[in-house]
Amino acid sequence: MRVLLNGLFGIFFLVVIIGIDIGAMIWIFLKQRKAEKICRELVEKHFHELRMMVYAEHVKPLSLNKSGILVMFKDRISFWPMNRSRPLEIQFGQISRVSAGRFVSGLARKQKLELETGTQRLRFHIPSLVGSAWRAAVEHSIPSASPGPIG
Amino acid sequence: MQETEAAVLVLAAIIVAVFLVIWLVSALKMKKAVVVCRGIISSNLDELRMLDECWLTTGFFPDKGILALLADRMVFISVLFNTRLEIPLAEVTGLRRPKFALPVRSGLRVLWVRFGRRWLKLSLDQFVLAAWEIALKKASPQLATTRAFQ
Repeated sequence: MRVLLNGLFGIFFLVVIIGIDIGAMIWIFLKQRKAEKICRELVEKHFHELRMMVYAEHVKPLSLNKSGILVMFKDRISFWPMNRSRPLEIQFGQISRVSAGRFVSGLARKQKLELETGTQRLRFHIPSLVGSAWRAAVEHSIPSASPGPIG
Repeated sequence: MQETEAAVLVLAAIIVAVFLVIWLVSALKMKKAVVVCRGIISSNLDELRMLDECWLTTGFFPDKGILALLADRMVFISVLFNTRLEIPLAEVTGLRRPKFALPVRSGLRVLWVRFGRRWLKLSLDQFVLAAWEIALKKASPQLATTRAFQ
């Protein structure tokens, strides 16, 4: 009886693990399709004003992170959320301070990018190696923006 | 008993050493990435179209670095070794993306670029890979007529 119970528990455990794995794959697959639509739209329409594009997470205090595509155009930075809600646009002229921070704790492959406008501070998590490129590009585009720390 | 304690201490030392090496390599990688990114931005910002981190495989071992798409060429600069590869878009003759690759949690998907006689394997973020593919098509119009795009 005990052997049978152990066996059943093992099979149940295996099914749960495989289920979680398949669920995660489906979730990533659907996210990829959404991202592909956004990327297609962005590149098809704005190729000549495009400068950089990365997958990013918009971090808001006291709420869940919002994932999307962070794009730098010649005159602005834009964040296109995966849930297809309205894109967030920040003109270079609005940015007063930019900083690319140290590694985000627990996520060694991500880096903080903070953009400060007169009224708000926008924080994004972007791939770890390109943070300095974003910071340099913003500083280059708006010489008046004061630099923050760099990781 | 003393042997067991010594073995545990050695194991702990090895684990700490491995973590230190990993931390040191990432710190060096990061430092080099800052220099590379600043170099690309200061000299090529006006012609920059895309920029992201990338694993490039030309031979057996992959190499991590920064990949930039400029108006007439792609530039890969390694943050692990002193490698720099310039790929003029006029010499890119094919592009291939596996349509039915399984999603992976590592976050990377593969884009194959034919340069000269060889295929280069670019592993890019899975969520912006489509953007790279379309941008490359737009940047090098001669590719639109090749079968690799179909």
